[in-house]
Amino acid sequence: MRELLEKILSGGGKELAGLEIEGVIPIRQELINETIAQGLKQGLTKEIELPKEAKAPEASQINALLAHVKRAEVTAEDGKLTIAFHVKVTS
Amino acid sequence: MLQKILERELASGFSSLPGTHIKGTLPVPGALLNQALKDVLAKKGGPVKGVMVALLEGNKAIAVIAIDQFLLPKTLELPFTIEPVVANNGKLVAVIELESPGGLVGALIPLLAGLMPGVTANGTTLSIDLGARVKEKSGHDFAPLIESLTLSTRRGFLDISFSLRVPEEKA
Repeated sequence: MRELLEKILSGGGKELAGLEIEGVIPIRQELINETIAQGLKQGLTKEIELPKEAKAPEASQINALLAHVKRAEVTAEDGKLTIAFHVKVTS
Repeated sequence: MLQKILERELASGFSSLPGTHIKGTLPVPGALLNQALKDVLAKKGGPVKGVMVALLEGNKAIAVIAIDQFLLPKTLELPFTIEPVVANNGKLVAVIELESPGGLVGALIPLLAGLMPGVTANGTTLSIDLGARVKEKSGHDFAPLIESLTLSTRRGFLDISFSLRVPEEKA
Protein backbone atom coordinates (compact mmCIF):
# COMPACT_ATOMS: atom_id res chain seq x y z
CA MET A 1 0.00 0.00 0.00
CA ARG A 2 2.80 2.39 0.91
CA GLU A 3 4.57 1.69 -2.41
CA LEU A 4 1.38 2.47 -4.29
CA LEU A 5 0.86 5.74 -2.42
CA GLU A 6 4.50 6.68 -3.09
CA LYS A 7 3.97 5.91 -6.77
CA ILE A 8 0.93 8.21 -6.83
CA LEU A 9 2.95 10.98 -5.14
CA SER A 10 5.95 10.48 -7.42
CA GLY A 11 3.65 11.10 -10.39
CA GLY A 12 2.87 14.53 -8.97
CA GLY A 13 -0.67 13.39 -8.28
CA LYS A 14 -1.47 12.76 -11.98
CA GLU A 15 -3.19 9.53 -10.98
CA LEU A 16 -5.47 11.62 -8.80
CA ALA A 17 -7.01 13.58 -11.67
CA GLY A 18 -10.44 14.68 -10.49
CA LEU A 19 -9.35 15.32 -6.92
CA GLU A 20 -10.78 18.58 -5.64
CA ILE A 21 -10.77 19.93 -2.11
CA GLU A 22 -11.70 23.39 -0.96
CA GLY A 23 -12.19 24.75 2.45
CA VAL A 24 -12.07 27.44 5.05
CA ILE A 25 -10.31 26.89 8.37
CA PRO A 26 -10.65 29.64 10.97
CA ILE A 27 -8.01 29.21 13.67
CA ARG A 28 -8.32 31.04 16.98
CA GLN A 29 -5.32 33.08 18.06
CA GLU A 30 -5.20 31.14 21.34
CA LEU A 31 -4.57 27.92 19.42
CA ILE A 32 -1.92 29.57 17.23
CA ASN A 33 -0.12 31.02 20.25
CA GLU A 34 -0.31 27.73 22.10
CA THR A 35 1.13 25.92 19.09
CA ILE A 36 3.96 28.46 18.75
CA ALA A 37 4.72 28.23 22.48
CA GLN A 38 4.83 24.43 22.35
CA GLY A 39 6.96 24.57 19.21
CA LEU A 40 9.45 26.89 20.88
CA LYS A 41 9.50 24.71 23.98
CA GLN A 42 10.37 21.54 22.09
CA GLY A 43 12.67 23.31 19.65
CA LEU A 44 11.56 24.48 16.24
CA THR A 45 14.77 23.25 14.65
CA LYS A 46 14.29 19.70 15.84
CA GLU A 47 14.03 17.43 12.84
CA ILE A 48 10.73 15.73 12.32
CA GLU A 49 11.18 12.02 12.68
CA LEU A 50 9.59 10.02 9.91
CA PRO A 51 8.58 6.39 10.34
CA LYS A 52 11.49 4.07 9.50
CA GLU A 53 10.07 2.87 6.21
CA ALA A 54 8.82 6.30 5.09
CA LYS A 55 10.73 8.36 2.57
CA ALA A 56 10.58 12.13 2.75
CA PRO A 57 9.03 13.54 -0.42
CA GLU A 58 11.50 15.09 -2.83
CA ALA A 59 11.35 18.81 -3.66
CA SER A 60 10.21 18.00 -7.22
CA GLN A 61 7.33 15.91 -5.84
CA ILE A 62 6.30 18.72 -3.50
CA ASN A 63 6.48 21.26 -6.36
CA ALA A 64 4.40 18.98 -8.57
CA LEU A 65 1.77 18.70 -5.83
CA LEU A 66 1.84 22.46 -5.14
CA ALA A 67 1.05 23.06 -8.81
CA HIS A 68 -2.44 21.77 -8.07
CA VAL A 69 -3.12 24.45 -5.43
CA LYS A 70 -5.45 26.86 -7.20
CA ARG A 71 -6.00 29.27 -4.33
CA ALA A 72 -4.58 29.84 -0.86
CA GLU A 73 -5.47 32.89 1.19
CA VAL A 74 -4.96 33.93 4.76
CA THR A 75 -6.98 36.63 6.45
CA ALA A 76 -6.85 37.80 10.06
CA GLU A 77 -9.63 39.43 12.02
CA ASP A 78 -11.25 39.39 15.46
CA GLY A 79 -8.66 37.17 17.07
CA LYS A 80 -8.65 34.48 14.44
CA LEU A 81 -6.66 33.58 11.37
CA THR A 82 -8.66 32.14 8.49
CA ILE A 83 -7.06 29.96 5.86
CA ALA A 84 -8.99 29.45 2.63
CA PHE A 85 -7.76 27.03 0.02
CA HIS A 86 -8.73 25.27 -3.17
CA VAL A 87 -6.86 22.29 -4.58
CA LYS A 88 -7.80 20.74 -7.90
CA VAL A 89 -5.99 18.07 -9.86
CA THR A 90 -6.97 18.35 -13.49
CA SER A 91 -4.41 16.11 -15.17
CA MET B 1 3.70 18.43 22.84
CA LEU B 2 2.30 19.44 19.45
CA GLN B 3 0.95 15.93 19.27
CA LYS B 4 -0.99 16.65 22.47
CA ILE B 5 -2.60 19.73 20.91
CA LEU B 6 -3.59 17.69 17.88
CA GLU B 7 -4.95 14.89 20.08
CA ARG B 8 -6.98 17.38 22.10
CA GLU B 9 -8.46 18.90 18.95
CA LEU B 10 -9.33 15.47 17.59
CA ALA B 11 -10.96 14.48 20.90
CA SER B 12 -13.00 17.69 21.08
CA GLY B 13 -14.21 17.51 17.48
CA PHE B 14 -11.89 20.40 16.50
CA SER B 15 -13.60 22.72 18.99
CA SER B 16 -10.84 25.34 18.52
CA LEU B 17 -11.65 25.50 14.82
CA PRO B 18 -15.36 26.50 14.79
CA GLY B 19 -16.63 27.44 11.36
CA THR B 20 -14.24 25.12 9.57
CA HIS B 21 -15.76 23.82 6.37
CA ILE B 22 -13.95 21.50 3.99
CA LYS B 23 -15.54 19.80 1.02
CA GLY B 24 -14.28 17.94 -1.94
CA THR B 25 -14.01 14.86 -4.06
CA LEU B 26 -11.33 12.20 -3.68
CA PRO B 27 -10.91 9.82 -6.59
CA VAL B 28 -9.65 6.48 -5.36
CA PRO B 29 -8.01 4.41 -8.12
CA GLY B 30 -9.26 0.85 -8.31
CA ALA B 31 -5.63 -0.30 -7.95
CA LEU B 32 -5.47 1.34 -4.52
CA LEU B 33 -8.72 -0.31 -3.48
CA ASN B 34 -7.52 -3.71 -4.67
CA GLN B 35 -4.21 -3.29 -2.88
CA ALA B 36 -6.14 -2.50 0.34
CA LEU B 37 -8.25 -5.65 -0.17
CA LYS B 38 -5.07 -7.67 -0.77
CA ASP B 39 -3.57 -6.30 2.46
CA VAL B 40 -6.73 -7.25 4.40
CA LEU B 41 -6.82 -10.75 2.91
CA ALA B 42 -3.12 -11.32 3.61
CA LYS B 43 -3.90 -11.15 7.32
CA LYS B 44 -6.87 -13.52 7.07
CA GLY B 45 -7.18 -17.24 6.71
CA GLY B 46 -10.26 -18.95 5.33
CA PRO B 47 -11.55 -20.04 1.95
CA VAL B 48 -11.49 -16.60 0.29
CA LYS B 49 -8.01 -16.37 -1.21
CA GLY B 50 -8.35 -13.20 -3.22
CA VAL B 51 -10.75 -10.44 -4.16
CA MET B 52 -10.33 -8.07 -7.10
CA VAL B 53 -12.87 -5.36 -7.73
CA ALA B 54 -13.53 -3.87 -11.17
CA LEU B 55 -15.22 -0.49 -10.81
CA LEU B 56 -17.70 0.41 -13.54
CA GLU B 57 -19.91 3.38 -14.37
CA GLY B 58 -22.98 4.27 -12.32
CA ASN B 59 -22.06 2.76 -8.93
CA LYS B 60 -21.78 -0.69 -10.47
CA ALA B 61 -18.85 -2.99 -9.87
CA ILE B 62 -17.84 -6.60 -10.18
CA ALA B 63 -15.91 -8.51 -7.54
CA VAL B 64 -13.82 -11.40 -8.81
CA ILE B 65 -13.35 -13.77 -5.91
CA ALA B 66 -10.82 -16.58 -5.72
CA ILE B 67 -11.95 -19.26 -3.33
CA ASP B 68 -10.78 -22.57 -2.05
CA GLN B 69 -13.95 -24.26 -0.85
CA PHE B 70 -15.35 -27.69 -1.60
CA LEU B 71 -18.31 -27.64 -4.05
CA LEU B 72 -17.74 -24.05 -5.08
CA PRO B 73 -16.02 -22.92 -8.30
CA LYS B 74 -12.46 -21.62 -7.96
CA THR B 75 -13.35 -18.13 -9.12
CA LEU B 76 -16.61 -16.29 -8.97
CA GLU B 77 -17.76 -13.06 -10.51
CA LEU B 78 -20.12 -11.22 -8.23
CA PRO B 79 -21.68 -8.04 -9.64
CA PHE B 80 -22.78 -5.49 -7.06
CA THR B 81 -24.12 -1.97 -6.65
CA ILE B 82 -22.72 0.61 -4.24
CA GLU B 83 -25.35 2.77 -2.54
CA PRO B 84 -24.33 6.41 -3.03
CA VAL B 85 -25.25 7.80 0.40
CA VAL B 86 -22.89 6.90 3.25
CA ALA B 87 -23.62 9.60 5.85
CA ASN B 88 -27.05 9.17 7.35
CA ASN B 89 -28.46 10.30 10.73
CA GLY B 90 -25.00 10.81 12.21
CA LYS B 91 -23.78 7.39 11.06
CA LEU B 92 -21.34 6.51 8.33
CA VAL B 93 -22.41 3.26 6.75
CA ALA B 94 -21.47 2.12 3.25
CA VAL B 95 -24.00 -0.27 1.74
CA ILE B 96 -23.29 -2.78 -0.99
CA GLU B 97 -26.11 -4.63 -2.72
CA LEU B 98 -25.01 -7.90 -4.27
CA GLU B 99 -26.81 -9.23 -7.29
CA SER B 100 -28.67 -12.22 -5.97
CA PRO B 101 -26.29 -15.15 -6.34
CA GLY B 102 -27.88 -18.53 -6.85
CA GLY B 103 -27.29 -21.82 -5.08
CA LEU B 104 -24.17 -22.39 -3.06
CA VAL B 105 -22.70 -19.07 -4.09
CA GLY B 106 -25.11 -17.44 -1.64
CA ALA B 107 -23.11 -19.16 1.08
CA LEU B 108 -20.25 -16.87 0.19
CA ILE B 109 -21.97 -13.74 1.46
CA PRO B 110 -21.35 -14.38 5.16
CA LEU B 111 -17.75 -15.28 4.25
CA LEU B 112 -17.33 -11.95 2.50
CA ALA B 113 -18.84 -10.16 5.49
CA GLY B 114 -16.37 -11.93 7.74
CA LEU B 115 -13.37 -10.61 5.81
CA MET B 116 -13.42 -7.24 7.50
CA PRO B 117 -14.50 -6.12 10.95
CA GLY B 118 -17.56 -3.89 10.95
CA VAL B 119 -19.16 -5.63 7.96
CA THR B 120 -22.57 -7.22 8.41
CA ALA B 121 -24.62 -9.21 5.93
CA ASN B 122 -28.39 -9.12 5.63
CA GLY B 123 -29.56 -11.20 2.72
CA THR B 124 -27.71 -9.82 -0.29
CA THR B 125 -26.92 -6.53 1.45
CA LEU B 126 -23.50 -5.90 2.96
CA SER B 127 -23.22 -2.95 5.38
CA ILE B 128 -19.84 -1.55 6.29
CA ASP B 129 -19.88 0.62 9.41
CA LEU B 130 -17.15 3.06 8.38
CA GLY B 131 -17.84 5.37 11.34
CA ALA B 132 -17.20 2.55 13.81
CA ARG B 133 -14.04 1.47 11.93
CA VAL B 134 -12.62 5.00 11.95
CA LYS B 135 -13.51 5.38 15.63
CA GLU B 136 -11.88 2.05 16.43
CA LYS B 137 -8.70 2.95 14.53
CA SER B 138 -8.37 6.59 15.61
CA GLY B 139 -10.25 6.61 18.91
CA HIS B 140 -12.31 9.57 17.67
CA ASP B 141 -15.84 9.92 16.38
CA PHE B 142 -15.80 12.04 13.22
CA ALA B 143 -19.35 11.21 12.15
CA PRO B 144 -20.93 14.32 13.78
CA LEU B 145 -18.67 16.53 11.64
CA ILE B 146 -19.59 14.90 8.34
CA GLU B 147 -22.37 16.85 6.61
CA SER B 148 -22.43 14.58 3.62
CA LEU B 149 -20.49 11.64 2.27
CA THR B 150 -21.39 10.02 -1.02
CA LEU B 151 -19.81 7.42 -3.24
CA SER B 152 -19.93 7.19 -7.01
CA THR B 153 -18.02 5.09 -9.48
CA ARG B 154 -16.66 5.45 -12.98
CA ARG B 155 -14.51 2.97 -14.86
CA GLY B 156 -11.51 2.23 -12.63
CA PHE B 157 -12.28 4.80 -9.95
CA LEU B 158 -14.31 5.23 -6.79
CA ASP B 159 -15.10 8.90 -6.19
CA ILE B 160 -15.67 9.93 -2.58
CA SER B 161 -17.46 13.26 -2.21
CA PHE B 162 -17.56 14.78 1.24
CA SER B 163 -18.47 17.87 3.18
CA LEU B 164 -17.13 18.36 6.69
CA ARG B 165 -18.15 21.19 9.00
CA VAL B 166 -17.25 22.19 12.56
CA PRO B 167 -20.35 23.90 13.95
CA GLU B 168 -20.09 27.53 15.00
CA GLU B 169 -21.77 26.76 18.35
CA LYS B 170 -18.71 24.72 19.35
CA ALA B 171 -17.00 28.08 19.95
